[in-house]
Amino acid sequence: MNPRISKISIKLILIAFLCVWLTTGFPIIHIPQNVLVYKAEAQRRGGGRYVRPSRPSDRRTARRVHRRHHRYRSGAYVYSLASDCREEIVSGKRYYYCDGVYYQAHYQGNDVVYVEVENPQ
Amino acid sequence: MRIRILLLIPIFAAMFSVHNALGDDASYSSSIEPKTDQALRQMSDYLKSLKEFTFRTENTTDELALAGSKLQFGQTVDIYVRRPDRLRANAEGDLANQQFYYDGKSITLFNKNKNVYATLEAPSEIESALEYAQQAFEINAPLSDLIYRDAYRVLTENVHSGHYVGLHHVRGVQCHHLVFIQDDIDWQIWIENSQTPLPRKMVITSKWLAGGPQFTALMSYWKTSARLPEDLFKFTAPVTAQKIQILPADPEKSDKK
Repeated sequence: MNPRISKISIKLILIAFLCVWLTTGFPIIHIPQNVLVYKAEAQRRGGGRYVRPSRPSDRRTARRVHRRHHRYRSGAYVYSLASDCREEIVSGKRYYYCDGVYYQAHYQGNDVVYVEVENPQ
Repeated sequence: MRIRILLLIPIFAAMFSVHNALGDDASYSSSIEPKTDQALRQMSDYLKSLKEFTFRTENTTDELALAGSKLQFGQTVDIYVRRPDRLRANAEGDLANQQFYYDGKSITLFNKNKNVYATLEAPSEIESALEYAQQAFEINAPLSDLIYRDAYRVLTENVHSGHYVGLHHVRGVQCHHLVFIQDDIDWQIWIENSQTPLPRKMVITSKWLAGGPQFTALMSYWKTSARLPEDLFKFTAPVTAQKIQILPADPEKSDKK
């Protein structure tokens, strides 16, 4: 083959490759970023490209639902008391005495929780 | 030949910048399909136009239990809104029977089962009061996204993409079925296909949690021009009820999901 022609055809191939690469948005770089989300959404109707989110928070109803789905527990309060707890009123305030520990009811968000408190007496 | 190659450089540069501009629109900000966007905006505009309204929502919430099992709990909530400054919600269900009052000055939560209530001073409009209660105390009104005057903005805040699923029925009412993709959750909404584009159903899925727990709300009994009595929004504590404190929001947790 004429070396001059082969040089030109190599250049043409390179240029064509670059054109495709640039116009399709460097697919070789993009695919690995999206592949996980693509898989997860594969069964959902509607196509389109999904990318990793820029903001990590979902607000209001969504956030509350999501949080409720994995409700956390803290050592400082409980969601319910054992049935054998004793109710005590000390200076007009209601306390619950359970197995050596005093609790007081508080709202924690929309939930009523029982917070461990010092002996009120 | 060298000149020709030099000429190609600006062409490449132009193509690259066009790609970037398209790429930003298509993937790095929210991309909601036009038909989906239109249906959601119509609902939001319609809800915004209502002055005094009431509806019922029947909700189910999945909770993850031990050994990977998933439990479903139900709740029925009656919601009463008078714009701009009155809100009442009565929730009766498996997990809690609770009433929510907002009278333009304060928010009160009253738990009927435990016979306890808590009151907090709140700003003078529904939107700012809900925002304050959420941020300072993590207190939420049921389905508050739909109560905000600008429901569209609130609902699409963290949406990456939105798609039109089809025309489907909810309890015999033909609705636009839409799906929105977010980071940790996906949500679907069914909006009545009529002159009164009301939300009829909503499903939220925590998609990355084991078992994909869902929240479902079926909305019915819409009264879009209700006359609501003033005492509906005023809380009067029962004699036996105990007033309790509200724990402030944990600043570390309040910004997380």
